[in-house]
Amino acid sequence: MEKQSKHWEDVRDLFRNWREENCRQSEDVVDLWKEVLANHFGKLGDEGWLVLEQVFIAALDCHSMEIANFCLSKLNQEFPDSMRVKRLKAMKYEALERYEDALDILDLIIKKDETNAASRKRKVTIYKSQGMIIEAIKELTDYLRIFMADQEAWMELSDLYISQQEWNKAAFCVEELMLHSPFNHLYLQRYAEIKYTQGGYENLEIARSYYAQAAKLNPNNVRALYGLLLTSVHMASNSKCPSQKKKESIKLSEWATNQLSQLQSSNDSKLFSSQILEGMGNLQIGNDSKN
Amino acid sequence: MASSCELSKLAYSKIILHAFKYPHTSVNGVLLANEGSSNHSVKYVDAIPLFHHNLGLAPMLEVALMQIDSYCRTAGLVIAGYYHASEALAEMSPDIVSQRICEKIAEYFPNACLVLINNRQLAKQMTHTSLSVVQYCDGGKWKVKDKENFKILPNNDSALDSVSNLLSKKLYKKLVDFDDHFDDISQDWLNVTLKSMID
Repeated sequence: MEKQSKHWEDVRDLFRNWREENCRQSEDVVDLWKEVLANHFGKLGDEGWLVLEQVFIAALDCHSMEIANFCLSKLNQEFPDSMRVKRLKAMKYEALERYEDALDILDLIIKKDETNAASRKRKVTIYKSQGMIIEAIKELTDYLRIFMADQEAWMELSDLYISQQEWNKAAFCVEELMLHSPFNHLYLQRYAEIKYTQGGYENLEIARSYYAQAAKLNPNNVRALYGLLLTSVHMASNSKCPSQKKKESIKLSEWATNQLSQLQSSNDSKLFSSQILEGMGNLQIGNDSKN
Repeated sequence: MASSCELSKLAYSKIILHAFKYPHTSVNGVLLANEGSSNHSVKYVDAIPLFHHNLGLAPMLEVALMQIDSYCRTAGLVIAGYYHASEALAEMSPDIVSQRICEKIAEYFPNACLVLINNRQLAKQMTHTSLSVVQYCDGGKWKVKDKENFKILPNNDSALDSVSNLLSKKLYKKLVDFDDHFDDISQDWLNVTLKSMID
């Protein structure tokens, strides 16, 4: 009901926001386009082409092929020789699972323009969609040899390695990200998660220090706080841990518990952190080499 | 060896809603049964959605399972199964992460079931249950459960109607999984308000 009373300018601004933040709100984009913006397309000016591209991709996501075809034909009319529009056509084939046709178009684009990063990345997603993770990894590593500063690509590669349980390689990708942005608490937290999953006492220690740094940079990062609590308690109960580090770990776990309590006190959800300390030993999923 | 496996309307609805909320990533969650359930006939009464990012990482999984375990002890339930929807449309076999998690669950609840969502059968108007079930047997083997031994309560058709109704109201937007909870700790992973809308 809210959407129907939205003014087209508000929707336009909302779409602009979503484009800038790279949000994946496909269902909302398609709905708002149908209800509001489609009727005011003429008023958008040059921004209209960006909106068409955005709606096209959202429509593919929702498999609304009619809307997707409408957007693509309008874009094709206006920009008949554009590589960018050709890439969108390849995405349409991807959505229709016509992967060979999609790859043909992308290879053509790359042949004409070797610096076209986006087309290379689409090839990775085509492999990924078909479950061909090894090929996707190879394509992405080749891409990163050329486009080394692409943080999104390093993150994607890290995710692919995690799905293959290649912890060292996944960690390496996150190390590249941390070099780019050493104060990004999310990268630090992700690194800690990989190290923890890898298992072993040394990795546990590394995980604890990265969780601690992440929590220091952002004390509201719930995963970092829980991670700090988890790693500290495991270290404190581990026979390999020297007594100095044990005391340190206990202090850290207390700090993390306090932070979590403070965050939870503002709502009435159940607080399980004290029970977490009790039940600590029971449910270890990671490698048995942890102890 | 459990001969039959039933899924309550609540558990089934939550599984489907979770898959619909995050159609572009893999999702997973655990299934809960009443404490003291026999191995001959397991009835899953609830499902707790876990994650939609990096399902293979251990720390948050351990934290989530500990919290669910605590909840189970207060509610007379036990973690007895696991569900998973793959990221890729066509993927139909359980990946290594799902297997390992379900094996762990089977240590505490023998013959735990691993429920896989068949992505291709999902639709806004559900006509198939869109689930396939494998069961963990002693010796580390996975046995596929036939359709006769697996049903949704009260019966498949009314469950499908009920879920289609929920989907048309877009109630999947209200579902909270553990990833949502860790992003915003005020969100309720027990989905208490959603439960009343489903019943």
